[in-house]
Amino acid sequence: MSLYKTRGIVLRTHKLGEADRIVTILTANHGKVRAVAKGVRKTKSKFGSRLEPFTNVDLVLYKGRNLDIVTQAEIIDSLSEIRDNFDRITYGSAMLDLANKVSVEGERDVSLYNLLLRALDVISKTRKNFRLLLIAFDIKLMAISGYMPKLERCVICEKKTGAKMRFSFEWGGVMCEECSIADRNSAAVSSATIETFTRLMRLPLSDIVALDVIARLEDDLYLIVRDYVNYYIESKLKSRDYLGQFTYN
Amino acid sequence: MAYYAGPVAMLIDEFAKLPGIGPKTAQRLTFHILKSSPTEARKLARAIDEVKDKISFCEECFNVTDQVRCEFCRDANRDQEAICVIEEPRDIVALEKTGEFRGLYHVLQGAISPIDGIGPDDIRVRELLKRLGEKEIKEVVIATNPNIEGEATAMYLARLIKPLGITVTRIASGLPVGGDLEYADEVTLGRALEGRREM
Repeated sequence: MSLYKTRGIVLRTHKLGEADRIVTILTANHGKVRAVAKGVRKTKSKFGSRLEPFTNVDLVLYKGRNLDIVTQAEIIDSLSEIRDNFDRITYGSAMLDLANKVSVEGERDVSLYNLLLRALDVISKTRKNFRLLLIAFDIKLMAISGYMPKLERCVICEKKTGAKMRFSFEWGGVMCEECSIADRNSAAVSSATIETFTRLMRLPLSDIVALDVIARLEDDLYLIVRDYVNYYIESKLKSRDYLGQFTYN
Repeated sequence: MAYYAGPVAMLIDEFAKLPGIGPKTAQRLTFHILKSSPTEARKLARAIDEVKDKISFCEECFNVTDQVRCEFCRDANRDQEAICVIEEPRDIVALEKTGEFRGLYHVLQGAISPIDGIGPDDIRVRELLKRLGEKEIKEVVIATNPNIEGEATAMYLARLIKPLGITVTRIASGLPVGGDLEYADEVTLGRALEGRREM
């Protein structure tokens, strides 16, 4: 018998067969885990809502050859406030999606788990600044994954950048005008945008809810960060297309 | 290496493509058909043929039907002022068995799923709004699944429909009849408490 216990956040679920699901969980000490939850889709399943996305759960899993099997689940925090608000669901899903892309099966990453948990907790309580929170989450996630961009000085010549500068996805930071020939795919960026970038990197997530950022700056920053993330994960996130395609009020 | 004659192998392969049917079950089904009478076998072939030929979506509610409009949309005795919104045609059967709802249906043919990039344009939301604009509807009952996709869909529809002056209701969630309280999870039990009623 090889049972093991772990704690994790349910990132997503896939239907399997008639009544089962494969759940993808970001655990605190086993990295990403994919496990079969038998019978969860049945009304009288013992799991109930325990294996729904966003839930932070204590699990007992049976080590399988290919996929593990969930044998017990107990809710630590259901974060059920997320499900009561459409924006919380869409922006929260975008966070789950990115966490799913960067996490690796069997590779322990406590800081990623903690970051996601904190971000979801903040989003479950807010009514505004959803996009700013997502941007800050992305930035912090890139930073803990080893892609913290260099923003104070030019990445190449180390000189202070002037008013005109560019952001290079490839070099991971800002470039002064002279050095920008090194990367033709760099994007023009204002010093005000970079200032906001730096602020979001330093501020704790809970403080970002109260922040007041000019819409135009937020738009610029959103695009820069989105492209920076896409560049490093080498794919596009489906959950993001959706945010752009569809905003309403 | 082929163990079976061509047609037999072909039928086994076709059966094995069906959900929940592995190679062994496919073999068993094939040999069952080989043994059964030609009329029985042809009946099965015809049933498969007909379901693909004759069944299409109801032009009004997008349920499956063998006519232009499905039996629920044609039935004048049903309450024409209430529409129940569900994800799949199979959900109609489940709801009809309760005998509690006598109105019309609208099948979305899916649910909004932010994480998969499935938005409102990918399901039959526009068609629902068109129906609400054309008919005198007083209540929309949202009966999407009580999971994250179903909730997202419900919330989206509510925000969209409420401003039209139509009552939007959501089916309750709570404890399954015949279950034990101690096994209920916090979210379900919390909702059951939230939706408690005076006796």
